[in-house]
Amino acid sequence: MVGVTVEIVFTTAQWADLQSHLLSLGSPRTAGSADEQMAFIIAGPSASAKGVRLVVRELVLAEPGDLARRSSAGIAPTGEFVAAALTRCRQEGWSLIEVHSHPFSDGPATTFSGIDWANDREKMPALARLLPGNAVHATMVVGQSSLDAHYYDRETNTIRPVSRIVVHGARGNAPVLEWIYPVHAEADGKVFLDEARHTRQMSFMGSSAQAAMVQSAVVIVGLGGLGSFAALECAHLGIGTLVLVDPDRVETSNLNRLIAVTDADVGRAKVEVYADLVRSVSPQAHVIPIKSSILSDEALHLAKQADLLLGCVDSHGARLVLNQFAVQYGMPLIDAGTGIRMNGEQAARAGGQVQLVLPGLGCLECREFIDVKQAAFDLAPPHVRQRELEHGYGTGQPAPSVVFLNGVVGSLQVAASAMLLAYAESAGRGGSIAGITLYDLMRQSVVPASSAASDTCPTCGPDGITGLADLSPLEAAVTPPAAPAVTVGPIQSDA
Amino acid sequence: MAADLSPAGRRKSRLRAELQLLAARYGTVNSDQRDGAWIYVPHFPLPRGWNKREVEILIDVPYGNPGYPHVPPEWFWTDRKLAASDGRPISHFFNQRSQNYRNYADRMYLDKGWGHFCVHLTAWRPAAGLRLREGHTLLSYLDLIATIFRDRRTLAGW
Repeated sequence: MVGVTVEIVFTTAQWADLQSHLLSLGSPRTAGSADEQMAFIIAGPSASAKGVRLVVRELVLAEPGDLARRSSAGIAPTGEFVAAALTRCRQEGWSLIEVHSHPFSDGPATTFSGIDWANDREKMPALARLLPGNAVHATMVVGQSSLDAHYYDRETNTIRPVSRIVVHGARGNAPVLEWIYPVHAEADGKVFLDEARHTRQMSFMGSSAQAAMVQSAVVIVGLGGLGSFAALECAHLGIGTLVLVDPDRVETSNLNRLIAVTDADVGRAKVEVYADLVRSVSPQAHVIPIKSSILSDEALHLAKQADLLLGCVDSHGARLVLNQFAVQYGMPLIDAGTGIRMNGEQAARAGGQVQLVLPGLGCLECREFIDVKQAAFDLAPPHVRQRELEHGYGTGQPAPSVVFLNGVVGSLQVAASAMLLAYAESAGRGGSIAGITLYDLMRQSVVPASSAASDTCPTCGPDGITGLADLSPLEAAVTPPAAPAVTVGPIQSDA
Repeated sequence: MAADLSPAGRRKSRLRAELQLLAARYGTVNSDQRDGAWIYVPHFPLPRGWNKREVEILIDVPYGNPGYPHVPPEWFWTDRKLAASDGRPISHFFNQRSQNYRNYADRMYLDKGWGHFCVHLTAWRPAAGLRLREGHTLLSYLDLIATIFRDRRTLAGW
């Protein structure tokens, strides 16, 4: 998380549609055509101290009528096509990415032509004045096997390279995370691999996988039984940056399952305890403890800079927040949970699950995994929660929890994380991760399950929140500060 | 018209669409024009067994982000003087101040003549976008309220 960067985040479906359009893939009418093609990309900005991620919301593919000129020597959109895209960005706050193809370029060095550069030098400063203040204007050129991209930096009035293209989602039922580097992307610098420390796992996963983990930032939300395993295992793996988020302190009743925690830690913030433990395991790791809920400004800001979110929460409100964050900000989420169902004094069922939230695989909401009753209580403003508690709602016995169940499920979660990150550097290939993994403690079985997106999901479906990013910030419901906002009549009628 | 993508803007846009459905069923309905934090149905019909033929209904719309429609409403407010015709107590209906009268919500509503029903949904599959008939909406929630008023178990002793 060093230096200011701009990334562009696609879903696998968006990326496939864009490539198909730009390179005439699978189109008998234009197969083999060397003519250039273009599209606009509407993206939500996700701004942080690290830079800006442009999370793609929608592709606006140029049809023949949208083009003033098209040949193998160049392409130009009509004024109307440009104006429509610009107007939408101006009015709604979107960032704009202009992309065209060089279908004749099949090598590893596709880049902007001299004409492209001349156009961008003239056009980008002008467009920056037309776009909203937080919006970014970028251009991208795509060849058969490589691409280049740059953006206009308003502060320095310069055109700077885009750092990375992130493609996440699914191909078939297989989860995919893929990092593609534009030809002129500025490298972060040499990645230091501590071979003495990681040699045994590098011989298993390879040095590029280890490099991916060292470069990765992972946010772990919830430092309970599951999160304690996740944090320490990520430290052992060599994850470069770990953000630990939890508002609670260690209690005596946690000592049965918080791995590596001692009596002396009772009363300390969980995130501080695990930050110390992570540093002792992995001194090179950059560890950021955040003693707050995920809905705090600080936690959300750091989450926007991550490569991967791990959900280790027992609150369905927090789980709903993480799910929405993942879809809205284009961030892979691996959620885990455990449960023990008692029948009298006997455990009737015990187990857990690890679920990937990636575009095309569905989300925790369309899988109906969120307990809406609990989520509604967790996310209600303080005065409503107080009212519920005073009337006897929202209370309950602490759920049973044991260290070995947390250990198995937490390890399955970290295994999925390692696989996803490890193959991000190798075009997303090589991994074989289940969208959902179910663990049954009583039967000692681990069963992979597939999942699919739902067209009617209000979160990850076509009418959902994909790519909204900072345009619709997540925020806690707060108690209104002053007089009652409710007045009954006369009120203006809507209907 | 450009879409207002802020959390309140998206919520109000959704409520505007849903209010069309509610108006077709209940006549005039109102909503919070500023924040989209409540809707108000002035003429909600009651079945037999109550001391009124109709009541006002006020629904708190979850207003954080995530909020409505991803988070369902939890409570609804109605006339504090609502009573069963035969005088039996009503389950999950609160028309008295809680012990802690400093409670903000009680001050806000009870003094204005409202009592509140607790309804905790266990299944909620909200409609996506404007495809309102393909999932749950406030119309579904009002259907549930109608069921509560019809269900004899709402009254103590059942």
